[in-house]
Amino acid sequence: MQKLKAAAVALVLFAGFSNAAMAQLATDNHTVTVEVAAISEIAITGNATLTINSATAGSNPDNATDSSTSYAVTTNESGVKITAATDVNMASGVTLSVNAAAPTGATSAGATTLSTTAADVVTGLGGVSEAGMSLGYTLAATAAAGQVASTAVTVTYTITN
Amino acid sequence: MRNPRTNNVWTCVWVALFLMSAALLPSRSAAQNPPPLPDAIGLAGAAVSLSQSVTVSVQDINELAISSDVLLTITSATPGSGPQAVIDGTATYNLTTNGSNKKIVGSLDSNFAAGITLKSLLQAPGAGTSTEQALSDVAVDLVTGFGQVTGTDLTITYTAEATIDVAPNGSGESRIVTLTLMDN
Repeated sequence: MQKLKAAAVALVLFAGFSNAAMAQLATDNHTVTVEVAAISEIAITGNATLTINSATAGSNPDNATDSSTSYAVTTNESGVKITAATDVNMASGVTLSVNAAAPTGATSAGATTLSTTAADVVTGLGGVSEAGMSLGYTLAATAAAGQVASTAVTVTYTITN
Repeated sequence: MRNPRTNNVWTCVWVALFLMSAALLPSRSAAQNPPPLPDAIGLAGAAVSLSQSVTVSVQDINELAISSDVLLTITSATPGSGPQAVIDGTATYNLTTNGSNKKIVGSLDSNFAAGITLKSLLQAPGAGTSTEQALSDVAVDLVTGFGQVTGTDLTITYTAEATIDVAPNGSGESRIVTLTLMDN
């Protein structure tokens, strides 16, 4: 009988503790998925004006340069490059080139002649977000090119795999 | 004339059968006279009044339910800056507690990959105070200081962030977010 009483008391106590412990908690859950898409963005700041108006006697006209513009880039991909192309080809004897500074970890192609065919200007970008990288333009013309009327040329930069 | 010894045997048999029947059969007096109801006052022609004790208890009740799963997709960035955070407020939760000084904690079943941060901000029930917290596999307080309240369609706002070091991850990383209502 003593054992029976002890068992009964233990059962009551256990039931009490169990009830109290369960009553203090309520829980539920759900699934949250975070997806990171491929992101590659590029932006250019400013426009450039290049004018050839001088020469050293006996040489072709002096080049005109402009480094006032820059670009910013963000990519979370790897093996990305930046290409550049103009909307029109330059007149015969006139050359427009660009030297785009490379962000951390990437490689600049150096001075690259621009045309309507896209050319790589920066390669090897990956996991980077930087701004303020300069675009150094150089305009060159031979004496044979003669006088060229002011022409607006659109340079398009593309970030691509 | 029977043998006296035989008579004694029959007498013993009769007594034994009588005792057995008395033990096995229900008592007639008990069947005819049921025990009186408690506090019954049986007076001819008068009302009968009964009373009994009824014990009522309300236990500690805590219930919490979350509505739906969530997908956050980071898709854009401002050039020169890291990916833009994505915010989702489509999930909700319902809550009931009759206790006081309660809180809700939140945790993940496992951490996201390095560079991914998932923050959660819960709409507080009643007078509770909510705080946006980054979630991990260690529970953090999301809402504190409330009690004796019910709430439905309370908003769960998630913010997903990723650094530029995080490569595209296909269909994404899924984690189980657990909310627990508990004593503060």
